[in-house]
Amino acid sequence: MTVSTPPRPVAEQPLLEIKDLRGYFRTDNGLVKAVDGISFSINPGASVGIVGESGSGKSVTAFAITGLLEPPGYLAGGTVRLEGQEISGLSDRALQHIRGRDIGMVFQEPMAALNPVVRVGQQIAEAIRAHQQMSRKEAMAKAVQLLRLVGIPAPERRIRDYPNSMSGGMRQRVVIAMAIANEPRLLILDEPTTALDVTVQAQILALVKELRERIGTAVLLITHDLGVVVDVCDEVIVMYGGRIMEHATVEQVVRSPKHPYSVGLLNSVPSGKLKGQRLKAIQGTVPSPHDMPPGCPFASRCPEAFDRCLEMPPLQPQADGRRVACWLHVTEEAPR
Amino acid sequence: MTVQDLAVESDSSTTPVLELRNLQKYFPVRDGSLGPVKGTLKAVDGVTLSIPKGETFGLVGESGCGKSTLGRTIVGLEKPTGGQILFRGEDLGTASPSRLRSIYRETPMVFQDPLASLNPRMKVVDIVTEGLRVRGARVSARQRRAKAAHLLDVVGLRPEQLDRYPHEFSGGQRQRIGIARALAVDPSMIIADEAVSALDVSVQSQVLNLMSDLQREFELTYVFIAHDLGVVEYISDRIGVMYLGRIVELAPATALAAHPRMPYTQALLSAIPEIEVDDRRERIVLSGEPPSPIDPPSGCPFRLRCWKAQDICRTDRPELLEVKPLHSTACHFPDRD
Repeated sequence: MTVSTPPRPVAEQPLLEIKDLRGYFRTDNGLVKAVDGISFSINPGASVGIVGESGSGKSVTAFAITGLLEPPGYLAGGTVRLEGQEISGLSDRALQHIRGRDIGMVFQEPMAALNPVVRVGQQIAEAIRAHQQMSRKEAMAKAVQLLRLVGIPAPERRIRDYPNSMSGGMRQRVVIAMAIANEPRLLILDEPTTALDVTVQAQILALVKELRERIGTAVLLITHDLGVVVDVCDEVIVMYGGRIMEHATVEQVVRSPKHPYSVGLLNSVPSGKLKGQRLKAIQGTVPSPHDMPPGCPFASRCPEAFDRCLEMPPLQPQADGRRVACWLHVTEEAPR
Repeated sequence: MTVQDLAVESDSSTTPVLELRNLQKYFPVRDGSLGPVKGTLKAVDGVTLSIPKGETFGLVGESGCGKSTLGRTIVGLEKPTGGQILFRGEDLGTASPSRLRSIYRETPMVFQDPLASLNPRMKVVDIVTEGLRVRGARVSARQRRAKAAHLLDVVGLRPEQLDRYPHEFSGGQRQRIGIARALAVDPSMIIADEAVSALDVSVQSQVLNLMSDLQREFELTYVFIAHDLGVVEYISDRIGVMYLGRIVELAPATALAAHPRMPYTQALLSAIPEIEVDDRRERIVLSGEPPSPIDPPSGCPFRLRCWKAQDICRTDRPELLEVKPLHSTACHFPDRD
């Protein structure tokens, strides 16, 4: 299989480093700070999940990283470094090159990434030839290999199919094949299985895990479903109101969530195990993005909120390695 | 209350609220919108089911399995093409049109997308009490307002919000309005079709708690249709798993979760990503996707994806039979004790 990558030198630096990233939107009702100053990094080969509810800023984060924020949205601040090189502020053309080659992307709706009137084989071949010197014939042969790799049966025949004649699950496999065509170092998946049935979701998640092992790509998986993160990722970033609430290993968050929002989120998920018990629902609703309260965005719904929460707490590193943005977990006063 | 109601009421302890007997809903499949009929889509293909008063019956399955069509057929939004629906023992197939209307009013539906199912030009007070007006009863504007205010209070909204329009509410609040509307007609049964699926998990849990409270208070029977097995497992007393228009496994929720007996249910349950780090189960990853209901395979509809399939699965359609008391499967090779 030619999709395997040559061994890379052990990286001293993170693959992706994000500092104080801000994605804002200008709207008729004022400025919406969808992502309001978040920082995190992803190591080579790591798998990081971003989990959050609607309006948490999780998808805007993906757009802001990859330079896909479109008006009325814009990158309002912060830096994005890929292997040490700053990519925020690069030209559209340069970013386009990075997106196809260094960062592969998969979104919820596969048809958004596919051209309905072009055969899937040709679409994949074009994605390859945009970044690699390769003849049409070679690229088409590679497309067949990629389709086989993502589990599409009889790929020699399927390359001639149009996306419309495929099921949702098959289309998402084609999009994943395109995303990994140039062996990206980072694969960003934004709600990749939300539109799919659960048995098909299980297939796609198994594929993502398998590809990660085989081609060694790092994964940034964005989802509203904590279960999906637990299945695929080692680390999780919990977002709310455009901020990171908690960044920890999956095990830490599942076993002992620290931020009251993480606790609430875990308690809210219904399952057979909680049968007959009242769900410990988080009270209230997500505040309107036009009308974000000052301080911690979760304060108005937080059972543990106190007057200090009118001020935004820092995302403070904890003794166990995780980071938590909550005054309850700020051990010492940050210098002013 | 009419004499007829009283007669039915008298043995309501034993009569199920809802009974389906070999219910079918077939759709003709045309070549283009006006072309000749070229096939039949068997959306619901022989469902037999009995739901007692006060039960929450969960109906799960993947898209295209027929669960929503089944719900829509029960509430009269689709006309069955075969079989019977009995509501508290009364056959809807032989009921008069006016009787049918009054029955359907008692069995409202709560839909997935509250915004799409609430008229954007109507105020909440009118939306909630629309059912009362249709009913033809003489209800004064003041009475309707009082009733609506009470219902908003019941579902956790504020009476001051009566004169607002749907778009002024959040998704969770809109779903509460949909529930208030369903309650206005003093229902005996509510069909909830993906009622919490569009909601964020923190809001979803609020609505699930509300539905449990209302059930206790008003002795409601629920048919809870959803693709999210975690939600269905949590809220249901009994669960029916649908595949290609048929119920393939039927059992109390706890028994189904503890030991699903047929391969499709086993795969479906194992596919739910669980929030669990201690014992990660071996996941059954099915190959392929559900076949088209227009051209279902012979015999067992699941056999093409099943790892236990034998010759008999190709030739004989398995009937829904008990593998143990209260637990049935439509499978030639179910797990037995």
